[in-house]
Amino acid sequence: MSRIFEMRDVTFAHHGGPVKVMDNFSIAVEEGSRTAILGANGAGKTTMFYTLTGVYRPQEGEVLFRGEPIEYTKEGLTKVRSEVAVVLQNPDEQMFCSLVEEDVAFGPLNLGVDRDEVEQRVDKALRDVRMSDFKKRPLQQLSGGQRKRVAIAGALAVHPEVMIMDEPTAGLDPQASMEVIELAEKLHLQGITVLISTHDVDLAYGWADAVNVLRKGKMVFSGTSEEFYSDAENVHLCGLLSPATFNMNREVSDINGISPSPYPRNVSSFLAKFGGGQKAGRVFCVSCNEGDIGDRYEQAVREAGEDAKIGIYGTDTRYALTGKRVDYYFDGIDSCFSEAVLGRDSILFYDSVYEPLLKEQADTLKGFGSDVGREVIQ
Amino acid sequence: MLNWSPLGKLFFVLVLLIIGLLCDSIVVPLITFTIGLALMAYSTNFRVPLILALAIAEAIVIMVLGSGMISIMGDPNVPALFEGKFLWITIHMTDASFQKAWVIFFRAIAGVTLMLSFATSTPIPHLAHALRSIKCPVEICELIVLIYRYSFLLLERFLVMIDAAQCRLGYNGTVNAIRTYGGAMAGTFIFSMELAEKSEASLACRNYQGYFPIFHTPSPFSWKWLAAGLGLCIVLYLINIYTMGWIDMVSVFAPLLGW
Repeated sequence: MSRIFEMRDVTFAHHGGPVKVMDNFSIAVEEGSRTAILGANGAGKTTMFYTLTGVYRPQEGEVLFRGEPIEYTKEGLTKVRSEVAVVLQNPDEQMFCSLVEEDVAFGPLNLGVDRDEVEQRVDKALRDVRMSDFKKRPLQQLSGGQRKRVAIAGALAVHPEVMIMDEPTAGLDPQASMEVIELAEKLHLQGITVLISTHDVDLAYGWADAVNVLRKGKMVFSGTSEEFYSDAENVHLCGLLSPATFNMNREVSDINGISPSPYPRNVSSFLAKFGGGQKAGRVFCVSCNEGDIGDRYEQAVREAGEDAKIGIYGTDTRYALTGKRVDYYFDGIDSCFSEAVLGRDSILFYDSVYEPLLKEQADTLKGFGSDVGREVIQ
Repeated sequence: MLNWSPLGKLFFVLVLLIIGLLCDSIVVPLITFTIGLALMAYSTNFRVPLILALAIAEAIVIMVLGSGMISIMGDPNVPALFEGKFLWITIHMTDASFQKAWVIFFRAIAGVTLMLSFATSTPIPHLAHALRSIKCPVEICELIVLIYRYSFLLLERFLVMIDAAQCRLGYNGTVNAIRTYGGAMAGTFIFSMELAEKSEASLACRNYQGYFPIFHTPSPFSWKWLAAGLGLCIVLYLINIYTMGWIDMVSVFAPLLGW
């Protein structure tokens, strides 16, 4: 993988003042990666994002995009921002139009995209965030969660190569948060580099390939989550807490007198590691292309049995299964594989774009000694 | 009505307002008022929002007071329909002042409904676009859009502060309430500066190039608007000539008020 972003020894202070918001700061982001930026309030996460997109110009150091230093000219900045979309923590700060569709179109229109193309992009972006029904609605009539989705749609409509999300789950209810994470996963699977800043260590632990931890404007850690959370003092100094899964693994491994490594990052991996080694069950996988399920719900229930638990992953599928019996509405992959690890069959309905995640999860579980069988329902 | 030409609508509304002011027959302001009401109902899909209804009601109350004042200040040399003294005000209502008060009342009401019909059917970006097309400085157009957008956010913030103050007993006593409102206003002002700084950065993030693009461009101003506006102007002027003195408000109210 090549580096899409790099910051080298960057120092930045607002209006050139004495307080350095970023101090001798360096970071490298790999193309196509899932990167989490962690840090307490005021650590410099948002400033870092603004510096990456050229909104803030550092007093010292350099910022590289695709190996080239950012040019702080209108053309240079437009080039960067046409490939990098930012979703701010507070959606109200980035909405400038009266109607939902107008706001989503704002970014592409600024880039001079053809109007017919903009129309298509707006429709698709609103469909991706399940806001098509609100297309003509004034923004001030939307709830906080809906505004967040519109902000994400506005970023998607730019067709970015890099998606930066500043505290995407802040202020959202748990279900909306899960939808945002599913969306981030979808973008990643489409080859988009996704950067998320968050305080939610549990979320970051299960999702990110790499974590970068900021403290008082300095990069204090860059690497895998396990390396970082193993250093309890550093975690404390950075104003963070270890994720629940990490802590449970450490304690249960200690009780059983085994090494905490390999580290499970979700419930199914945890169960596979400590579950007792019974014969794994099967996951009946039903891939849904744009929510098209047909009669496969009944077929899957017939094949897996009435007792099989049913899970969902993906917004289109969730919408398509409205009114049907479902046991796990969110995070269905982890839940269904957990069932399988415990020796029970389950059915997983998912948006087809998430297919690689199933293989990834099955491979991970194999590493923990649980060989979960996957049955594909055509 | 949303997709009608903003400049055309503005021209049409202004023509109706001006002709309403120029004509002395009460029939003309009544017609312009009816047109304004119909356009407003059409622009809101015949569902006038409560806030608009309240605004109209408030305007009517103000105009009733204003017209009332005009009606009681008639020429003292002309015989009065009604006269008297209230506090230090000498009341002298004449035939002419009563009729004039009604004409002014209907002109004002027509103005409100016409302008509201324009306002409810013209998004601010369309207005800015129209202003740009008549060579209004781009900075002014963009400021209009930004102020419009941020006024909602600031108003929302102000209301949150007001509610929060209520939770913290901020309205216990008149002085305390005044202090709370003052604090909320100052807080909103300070927040507006913070918001301005943040919005500059977020506009940059969304590739703002110095002007707000419009997704669905409204229709341009055409000769049809010009013809419709001028045609209606002539018709109303003729109506004015032929209906002068048709409706005498004194005769209408005479049985009720015993004149």
